[in-house]
Amino acid sequence: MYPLSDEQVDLIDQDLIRLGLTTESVRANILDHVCILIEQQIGHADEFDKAYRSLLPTFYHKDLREIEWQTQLLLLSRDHLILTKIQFFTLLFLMLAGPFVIYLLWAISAQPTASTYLVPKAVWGPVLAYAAWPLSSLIVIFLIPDHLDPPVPKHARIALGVAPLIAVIKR
Amino acid sequence: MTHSPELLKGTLKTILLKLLADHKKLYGYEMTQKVKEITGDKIQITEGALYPVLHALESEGLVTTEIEYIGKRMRKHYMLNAKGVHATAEKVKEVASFIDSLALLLKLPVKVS
Repeated sequence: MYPLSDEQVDLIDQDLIRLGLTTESVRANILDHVCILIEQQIGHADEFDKAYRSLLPTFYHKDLREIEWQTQLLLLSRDHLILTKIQFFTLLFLMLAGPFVIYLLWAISAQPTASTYLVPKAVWGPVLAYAAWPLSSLIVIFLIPDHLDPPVPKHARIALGVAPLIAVIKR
Repeated sequence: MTHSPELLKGTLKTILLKLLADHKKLYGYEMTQKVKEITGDKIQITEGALYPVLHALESEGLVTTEIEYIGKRMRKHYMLNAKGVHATAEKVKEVASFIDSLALLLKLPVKVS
């Protein structure tokens, strides 16, 4: 068994990127797997190139990108979505429409005149400004493509979602 | 005789979850070896099938990972979490029931569950 040098590991890693393996965690796994198999096969540094060139094609049928595509395909499967599209857009609609509906109900119960139905700028202006945060947060949290790698963990999404709030406060 | 990878497609997730349920933690290469060993080489999991599924399991929150550095390269060890334990039980049950149905359909003398 011959332990691969850092340069050889780098060379394989760069080659995997060049061949289209962009998802970092999958690439790291494949890199480790390739290294283990090469280390088992060779006894000397001179044998590395030949061993690597003959080993890599055994990982795919036509192209290494198959692994990348398969990864994306599995991530896009509906099973792991937090909200369905309908739930997401219903939530967005409720967040936007909610304050207006409440205002109208309040206005109607207080002074039922014709002008009641015209929502004053003093109401819809701040509502839109403050809705910017929850809306942006929701968009950031739920619309971050899951194929981004390393997968953006939930706490990071929430942290990212807070960023638009800071922007609103600063404004 | 090695089984066709086509037969494995729908059950790979279950196989990996069960493997992790039976072992404390495993990394990719170890998983391929365990499967070979347990099945007497009849099932060989390809790297191209294994890693996308592991990535999906992680993304679904069924497994947790531990990183070990070997020089410049990273080795990811996978472990089942509580959600994964529950999912494993469900999936194994589902596959067992499927095998029973298949046995009935193909008139095979097999009874799994």
